[in-house]
Amino acid sequence: MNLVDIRNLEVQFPGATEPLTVIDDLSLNILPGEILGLVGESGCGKSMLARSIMGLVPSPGNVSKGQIFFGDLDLLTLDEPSRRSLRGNQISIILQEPMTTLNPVYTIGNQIEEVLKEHRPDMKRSERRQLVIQLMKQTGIPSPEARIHQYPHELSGGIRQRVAIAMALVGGKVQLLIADEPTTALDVTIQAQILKLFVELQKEHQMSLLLITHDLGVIAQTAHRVAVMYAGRLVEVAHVEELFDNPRHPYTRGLLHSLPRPGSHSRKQPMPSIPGTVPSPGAIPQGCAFYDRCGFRDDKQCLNERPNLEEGATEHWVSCHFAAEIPPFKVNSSDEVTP
Amino acid sequence: MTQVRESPILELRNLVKHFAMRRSLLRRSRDKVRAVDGVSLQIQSGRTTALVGESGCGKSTIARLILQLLQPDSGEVRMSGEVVVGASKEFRRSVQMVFQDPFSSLTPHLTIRSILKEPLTVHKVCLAEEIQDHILDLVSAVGLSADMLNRYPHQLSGGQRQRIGIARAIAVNPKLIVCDEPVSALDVSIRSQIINLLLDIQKSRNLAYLFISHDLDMVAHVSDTVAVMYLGKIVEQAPTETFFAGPRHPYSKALLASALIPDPKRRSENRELVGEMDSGVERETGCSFRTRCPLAIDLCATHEPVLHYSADEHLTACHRIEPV
Repeated sequence: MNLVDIRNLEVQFPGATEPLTVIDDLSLNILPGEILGLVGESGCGKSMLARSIMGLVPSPGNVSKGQIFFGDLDLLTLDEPSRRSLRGNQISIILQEPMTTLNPVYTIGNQIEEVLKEHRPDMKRSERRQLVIQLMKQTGIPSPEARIHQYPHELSGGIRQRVAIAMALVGGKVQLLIADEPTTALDVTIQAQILKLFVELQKEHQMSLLLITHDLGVIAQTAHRVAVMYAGRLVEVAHVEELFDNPRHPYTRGLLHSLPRPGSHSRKQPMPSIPGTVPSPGAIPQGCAFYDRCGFRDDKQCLNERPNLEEGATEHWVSCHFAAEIPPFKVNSSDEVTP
Repeated sequence: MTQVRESPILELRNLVKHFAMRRSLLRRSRDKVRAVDGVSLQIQSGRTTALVGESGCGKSTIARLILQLLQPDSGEVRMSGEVVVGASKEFRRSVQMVFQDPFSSLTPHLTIRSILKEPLTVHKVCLAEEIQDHILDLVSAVGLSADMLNRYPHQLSGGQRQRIGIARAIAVNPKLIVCDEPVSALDVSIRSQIINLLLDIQKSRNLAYLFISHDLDMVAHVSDTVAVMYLGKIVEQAPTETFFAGPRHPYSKALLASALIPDPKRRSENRELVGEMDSGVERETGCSFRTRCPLAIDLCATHEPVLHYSADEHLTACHRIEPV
């Protein structure tokens, strides 16, 4: 049974001549209690996917096709009051920059409490305070009784992100937590602390975590399964070890090759890189979206025919015409990415 | 102990820059942020020195002190052996900068051609009739085509914009480029392209780089020397290979251990460093890292460690590491 089942989702924005498709025929499931990593570059549609699940696609964009099931509920057909009661209660989101998530003129205690007021209106004020302090303790905020009276600007980036996490969990029944680049704005030593907290909370609350990031290191260290997005489409979905050992899509392989790894490239020598840039919506090649940058393409099928996401090996989905023929992956064989 | 080598292109001697904290509008408090607190560093011509550390450790203040955008409270910046005071035109020509954010570092209402033309005319790099040829050479040196020239920055992708930022920096034939997190705002698939470009022009133009970054894997790849900063001070400095083969300062070790290895089979449990960096304001005596340090002893609270050679060319500021 899936916790979330996204079927043939399409999100469009109005363009000058025709609508721009930012998410294109995307199907993906999230299992109960798993950490699903979603990787992709800026503009590939990963944040828009998160917003679609939350029901917060910014106007004038709209979900033009598809369904998103949360358990038995089809989120896209729900009325706004029912969606509102899900948001922050059973489905929560954490954004990249905690400084802009939090309201600068309210104390953090106030802000966490506000969510509680919305979802548990019957609760007494003193009970609410107690719960907020308890939650702040749980998310590793030191001396919460004092912090509760502080304003966001008085806190460090790491503590602010912990506050945002506490706020996301305060509804108490969170089944799906979406974290959109939650550690990108943080320093490396703090990033490691926050990721550890995510893994602990995910286990403790037995919730599913959709972890959106561009950092393959974050994915490798935390995710159970990984979905790779490119230009609004899913290109590969697999278990984390399978994806890093045996990536089948040329884009995934390019990303893995271009990571600087200690000892893998000689110092000051050229690093493997994917040529070209990500196509903008509206300029996506007709066949495979990765056609222009691919080292394995052919001029017929790849140019004209869009590949479908197909299950090659067990639970390893790839959308590439040559997924089966591409040679085994080796970290140092960089010839395929610099044609 | 140290080997004889050519004199450095840039030398920082005991640089200090403190900022006064303002508590209220009328009353200036006596608290100071010790942004840079006695930093000495050398950069050899044609080589890369990496400056590593977390946000707030003073990396960018050092960049601004080098570029003469700030004047130090004490200490000096020397360029090719001579003390630099204020930015002469000649100095500005020899030191350039590549910024982190390629979106805000290019003037939005100028075409790429005008952006590249400006340094050429200001510094009279070439004759007026050669300018157009020079601009063409610059864009091709950074791997872009001439049809970019009539576009505006917003029409370019992040990677292309960063290439223009690099072209602008090399336009005046500098000797040193300060690269402040030059790839951290770029997508993963573009980063290695830009790194390759930086390595390429370093070789062809014999440029020295001060490479400011928090990405240790990237630093391992591009630099010749690594300097690690914590709260305004350099705590460890060594040639890149020596450093990565065996970092000595507990903070450097923690930084390396916090880096996320892109390999799901190597998930480590104890990689986190407790606590957060202090603000740099209310520092008392002793080592500023001691509150987070797993090796701290009583001595660390009373005496501040100084940089000493713990091995050949390997400088460390820690009481727990024996000098040679």
